[in-house]
Order: sequence, then structure tokens, then C-alpha cells
Amino acid sequence: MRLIKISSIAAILGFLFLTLSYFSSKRLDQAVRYSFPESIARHYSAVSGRVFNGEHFSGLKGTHLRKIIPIDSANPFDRIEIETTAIDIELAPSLSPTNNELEIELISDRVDSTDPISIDTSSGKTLRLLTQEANTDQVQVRRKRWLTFNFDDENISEQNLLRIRLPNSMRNVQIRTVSGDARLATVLENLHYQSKSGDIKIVTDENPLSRVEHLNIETISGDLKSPGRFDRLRFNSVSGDIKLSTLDRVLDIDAQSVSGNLKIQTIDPLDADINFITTSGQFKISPSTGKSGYSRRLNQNSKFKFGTGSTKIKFQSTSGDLKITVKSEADSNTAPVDEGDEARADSYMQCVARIAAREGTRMTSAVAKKCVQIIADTNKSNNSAISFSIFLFG
Amino acid sequence: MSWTSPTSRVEYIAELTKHLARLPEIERSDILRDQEEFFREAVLSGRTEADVIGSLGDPKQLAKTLIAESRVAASESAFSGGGADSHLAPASVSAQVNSMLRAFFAILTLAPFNLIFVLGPFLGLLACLFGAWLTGSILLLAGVAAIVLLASELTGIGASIWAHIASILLGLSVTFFGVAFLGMLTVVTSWIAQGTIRYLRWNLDLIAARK
Repeated sequence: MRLIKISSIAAILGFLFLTLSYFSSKRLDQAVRYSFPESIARHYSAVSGRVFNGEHFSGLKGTHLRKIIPIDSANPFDRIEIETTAIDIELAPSLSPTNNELEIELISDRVDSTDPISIDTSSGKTLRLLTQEANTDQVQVRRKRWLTFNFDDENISEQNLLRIRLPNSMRNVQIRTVSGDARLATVLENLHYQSKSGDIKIVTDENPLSRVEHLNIETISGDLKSPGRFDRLRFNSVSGDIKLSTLDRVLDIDAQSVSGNLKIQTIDPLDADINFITTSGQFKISPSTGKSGYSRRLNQNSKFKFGTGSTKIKFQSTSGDLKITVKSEADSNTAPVDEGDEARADSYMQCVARIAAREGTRMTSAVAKKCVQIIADTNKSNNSAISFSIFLFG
Repeated sequence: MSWTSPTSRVEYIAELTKHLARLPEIERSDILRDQEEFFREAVLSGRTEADVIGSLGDPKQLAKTLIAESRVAASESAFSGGGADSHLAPASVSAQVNSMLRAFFAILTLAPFNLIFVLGPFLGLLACLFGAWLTGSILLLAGVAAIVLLASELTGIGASIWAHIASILLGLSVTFFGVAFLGMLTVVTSWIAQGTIRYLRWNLDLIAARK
């Protein structure tokens, strides 16, 4: 009986300390909480020096490399080719538009830290970047959420990113990757993206002007996610999907897929000339509230024209579907961006670059919002209206 | 009879004495005195010595049963402190374990089927108990190690005071859970040992009844 009493008291104390520990760990507001096995892994990582990125140990030490290549008469590059295996790529505008420099930043635990990236400058006007990725002999650490504690203020972040800040003079990019995702937050003339499973995304939250004139994508299962933001798109895939949240200023889409879908969200009125060639794909159009929709499984070459047909869409698929959702402007909070004239765009970019450089931050939505406000105030005083969509700063 | 039968009481008792050699002197004397008494009463009641020898069976087998009986009784005594009426305290843990093992091996030699009905369950129980004790010990050590190692490591990386508090409290929690687990395990182990003794007694009675 004495032993049972002692055990019961010990168990009660155990629960008490566990509860206190849990609430103590909650005091670390700024930290990312992680689970019990993961915390052990992170502590082991701290002791051993091996990199732990929240999922696995890489067996390599982390690499954080930053390199600046000036674009001048000695380096007259106007095109860049990037090759990675699994490292993600982010294309962003230069923070110093006046300096014609290419900035390369590599944060990764997948590369050999002695020779993380090879830069080939011997191809005339084309600069080639190739990451030296190693077989990292990864040790998986299972994330269980049954006991979540917080012991330190380290953030868990996926550290496999090649960020390239492009100068204004470099508007042509080619990316080859196996599984790396590409993120575009700048203005380009040509972007050729080839991947096995990597996705590509055009983002406007950091740079409202992100856009590609000619976007060429070849992928097996990678997806494209974009709020329009291109003039012409050529998309060739086996099972990759295309998801467009607007057709803003899109002139031409030529997509081929075996089973990938093309999903478009746009604002009423739909203005497109659609040619859908399929074996068993479904064509579906969901109009704004109050109007009847259209949904049909097609097995032939079908053409549809809406409005003047200013956007040409040609979609060839075996079983992929074409789905268009048309929203009324009132329903949508994704109103088109008034990008204004080139001068205003330039001043916006300069504003963002200035703030980012001064405050040492990336082009976050807060920075973008601040710049829009500054420009709006400036234009108001000049009796000139400027409007940016609210969704940019959400 | 497959055994070479002693022809007289004296021969039978001599044979039995030889097979009871493993028992302590006092215990052996008690048993032999009881057997002598049994012979005497049987003869007085009109039975012949040969008839009594026939009913008692092989002296070697009888010795095994008597040894098992003695060992089980000693084990029961070690766990209960000499029985329900006794005011003696239970024996030490090592004495209990020792007596139980002696009883166990004595029962094991009584009948071949005990290799399945006694040895099998006993090994299974032993493995479970070993696993449980190992788990409890690791839990206890992990708690202590967590307090010491996490505290030093968190200091090393300059973690905040709340990180220290959280980790120390978690270490204490794991330690107390370890203590609670080991405490309960001691009780459960004692129950299992007593259950084992009861099972051995039942097994012994069953074998005796068959004879």
C-alpha cells in the first residue's frame, strides 16, 4: 500500500510538472513550437553541428552564400541559365536598380559547402549557374504532434533556396530543375522553366509588378500558379495543372497536357477565344451568381468565343479538364492592378528598394503598402489618381 | 512398476533419504520422520510394508514431489511472512526471488508437460517484466538526463529563462513519471510473483492428485 501511495503521489507530481512545463513553454511567444521527437533532433543538431531543417538531418553543414556579379562590359550578360536538383529558386528584382548587379544568395543544407555553386561565365552573354547538390543521406525525423513543447527560439525553416536578384538589364531566364520550385517576383521578357516535379509560381505579394512576357514551361508533374501576369504562355506537361487567378492582360495560352487541368478564375465579362481539344476532358464554366453555368464532357475539338476573344486559349489534353470561374467585379476582391505608366512603376520599385535596403527587410507586403501610400500621396498632390488592389496587401 | 522396488520399509526409507539429499538436514529429517510415521500407522492398521511401498510409488519420484512441496511451501512462507496467522515480516526480495526460483525448478522437474505449462508462461511473464523494468529505468534516467543536459545546452545557445524553466519542469515531470511507473511496477511484480506461487501450488496439487 505504501508503494501504491508513493507511486500515486509521484504520478500526480509528474502531471503537475508536465502541465507547468507546457504552460512555461507557451511563454515563448515568438518561437515556433515543435514536437517532442523533433526537439530532441534539434538539440542533437545543436550538439553535433549537423543541419536539421525540421524534417531531416542533411549530414552537411548549412551553407549561406552571397555573391554579387556586376553586369558591365566585362560581363555583358543579358540571359541567365539556372540548374538545380531540388533547391528552390526565387527570382526577384534587384534591391539597387541603379547598380547593374546580379545578386546570388544561396541558403541550403543540400549543397557541398566547399563548392556550393558553379558559375560559368564563358558562354558569351549567357551566365550559367549550377548548384552542386549532394546526396545528403537524410535521416528522417517523424513529426508527431502528441507532445508539443517549445524549448528555444529557433525558427524551423526549409533552408533550400537559391535567390537571384536580377538587374533591369537581365530579362531572360532559363531554369532547369528536378524538383525545385520556382518563384517569380520580378519582371522578365522570357522565362523557360523545365522541371520534373517542381512547381512554378508567379507572385505579386512582394512585387505587384511581377510579370513575364513569354512564359514557356515544360514539366512532367509540376504546376503553374499565377494571377495571370504573363503575355504568352506555352505549357507542356504530363500531369501538371495550370491555375490562373486572373486573365489580366493575358494574350495567348497554348497548353498541352495528358491529364493536367487548366483552371482559370477571371472577372466578368469573360473575354476569351477558347479552343479545347480533348479526348475525354470536361469543359466547365461557372458564371457569376444569377447566370446559368455550362458543363460538358467533350471528346472533340471544341471552340468557344466569349466577348471579343482578346485572350486566345488553346488547350490540348487527353483527360484534363478546362474549368473557368467567372466572378463579377463586386464578388471579387482581386480587382486588376492599375500598374500605371512606366515612370510610376519605376518610382514604386525604387521606393521598395530604398525601404528594403534601409530597413534590411525583404519586399514584404508591409513595405509594398508603405510605398503605395507614399506614391498615392504624391500623386494626389499632383491631382493624379492611383489605385492598387487591396488584395496585394492582405 | 518401472522402478526397482525396495522390498522393505528400511530400504525404501534409505532410498528416499538418498534422493532427498538436496534438502537441508532439518527439513529432510522432518520428511523422513513423517514417512516413518506413515509406514508405522499403515502397518498398525493391517497393511503390509510391500502394500505401503506400492502405494507410495517410486522413492525417487516421491522425493521430487516432496522437494517441490517443500520448496513451494518455503516460497509461500517467504512471500506471506510465514502465513496469514504469522506475525513474521515477509522475507527480503532476494530471498523471495530465490525461493520462487527454487520452487519453480522443483515443479519443472516433476512432469514433462510442465515445460509447456510452467516454463512457457513463466518465460513470457519474465520477458514482459524485463521490458517494463527497462522502460521504467530509462524513463527515470531520461528525466534526470533531460534536466542536466537540456539545462547546460540551453545555456550554451543562450535560450531564454522560460526555455530553461520549461525544460527543467519537463525533466522533473519525466522523472516523477519514472518513479511512479517503477513504484507501480514493483507492486505489479509482487502480485505476479504471488500469482506464480499460487499457480505452482495448483500445479503441484494437480500432479499429486493424478498420482
